[in-house]
Amino acid sequence: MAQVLTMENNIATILVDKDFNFETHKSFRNSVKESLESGAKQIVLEFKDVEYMDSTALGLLMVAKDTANEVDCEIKLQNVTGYARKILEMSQFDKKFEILN
Amino acid sequence: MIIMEEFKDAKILVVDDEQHNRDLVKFFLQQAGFSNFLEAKTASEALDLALNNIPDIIFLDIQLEEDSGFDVCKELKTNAKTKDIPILFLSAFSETENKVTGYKLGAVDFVHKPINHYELMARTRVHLKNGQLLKELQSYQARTSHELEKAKKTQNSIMPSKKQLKAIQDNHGLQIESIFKSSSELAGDYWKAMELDDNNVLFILADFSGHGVYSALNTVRLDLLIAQADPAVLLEPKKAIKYLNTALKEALPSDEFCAMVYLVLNTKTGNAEYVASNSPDLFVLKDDGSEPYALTGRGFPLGLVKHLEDTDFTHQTIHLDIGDTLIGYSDALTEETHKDGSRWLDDGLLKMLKEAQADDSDKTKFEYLIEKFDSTVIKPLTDDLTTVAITRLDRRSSK
Repeated sequence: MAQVLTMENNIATILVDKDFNFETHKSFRNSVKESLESGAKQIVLEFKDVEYMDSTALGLLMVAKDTANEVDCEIKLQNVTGYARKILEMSQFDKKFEILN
Repeated sequence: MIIMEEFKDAKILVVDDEQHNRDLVKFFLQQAGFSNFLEAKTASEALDLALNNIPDIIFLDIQLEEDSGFDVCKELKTNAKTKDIPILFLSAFSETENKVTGYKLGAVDFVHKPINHYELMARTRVHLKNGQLLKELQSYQARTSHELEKAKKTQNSIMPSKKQLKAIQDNHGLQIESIFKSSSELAGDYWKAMELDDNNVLFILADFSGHGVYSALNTVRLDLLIAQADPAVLLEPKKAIKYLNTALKEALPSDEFCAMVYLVLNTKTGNAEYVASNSPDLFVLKDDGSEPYALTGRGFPLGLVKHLEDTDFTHQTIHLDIGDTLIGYSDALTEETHKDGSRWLDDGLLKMLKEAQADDSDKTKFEYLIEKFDSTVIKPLTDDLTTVAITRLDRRSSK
């Protein structure tokens, strides 16, 4: 599951669940869509609960980034640690996304 | 009550030792439009008729004169030809014990005596429909598994054959060991060994996101792209990975991608140039006994952006001495769960490689590693597994 936590000053925060994989894809896409439709200019993906992510999650992140960029919205990741951090570094997503800690 | 048109020719076997009971069942069913009946009054008649005619449904009395209907049911349910025929017991009893026995033996339902017209019809309709759905499902499964089997053969045919590997090993003084296991019928993993010229051999290990049918299609796509590539490009890993990335971006849906190691080994000098994207570390096992070491596979996945920059992937040149082994693998090797609940991860793999290096049996380091993995991993695997070990031998002595 992923869900929009807050939406303030055009910044949406989406909380991503501990397993970020194929199961998450619907709720994640919906949360991104909901944020963009509310006029978000920045989406912060809160990773504090994420313990595991797989290759599907990388695909989801990339599609979200492309969709957001089309409407001048930036996607940032927050509190990425442990295994998720390793996966993002291995795929050099840490260079494509700003990671806030 | 009118029967559904599609069932009016259904073949119905009625087994009861008493004529009037058989007639009653037939009468009610005839009223509803059924006409194709078989009748038996003993167990042996029932078995004969069932095996020779394969009815669509069987009404079976529990207490036949000399035998038990349960025995007939048991016999039919253990025969491959008749095991899927719905059997409904005609029972004067409604005791739980009889029902439990009947269901355990594989009966689908009970019709109670005295027979109620509506109950009989409702149950007949439900079980004919279920029987038909089961037949359709079985035929669909048979077709699908036949197609998957053929697809699997196609996929295996794009992986290096024993003959191809032997030629490369003989010509280049290499020992190449590999394992390729898919988690479902088809895999999203791919590997290739290909002679580029007298001195250079290309190795590719790729892992497409996801697994199963669509990932397998992507492996075929990749193989085609490599076959179509300019040979001069294939000799230069940096150019090759950029070419493959752009071509995959055009071919793949926006959320699918590929992890890859692309390595060109000069078998004369032992120098190897590799590029990697989003791939697990490679490991080098030195023959001089020094510690195994990891080579990063870090990089941006292929197929997600149109153009890869030089900084988007790992690019390195390494050297393999005679006797050294290079091991590449898809992430299932380190990510799959073992019986004790653990996963190897990078540290676990390094530990196993050290053990393999210290092992003094006749096994190769690769054999030691895979046996260890195989003995403790939980099966079936949840992801596709590919592991390849390349050992450099003395070119002259190997010929």
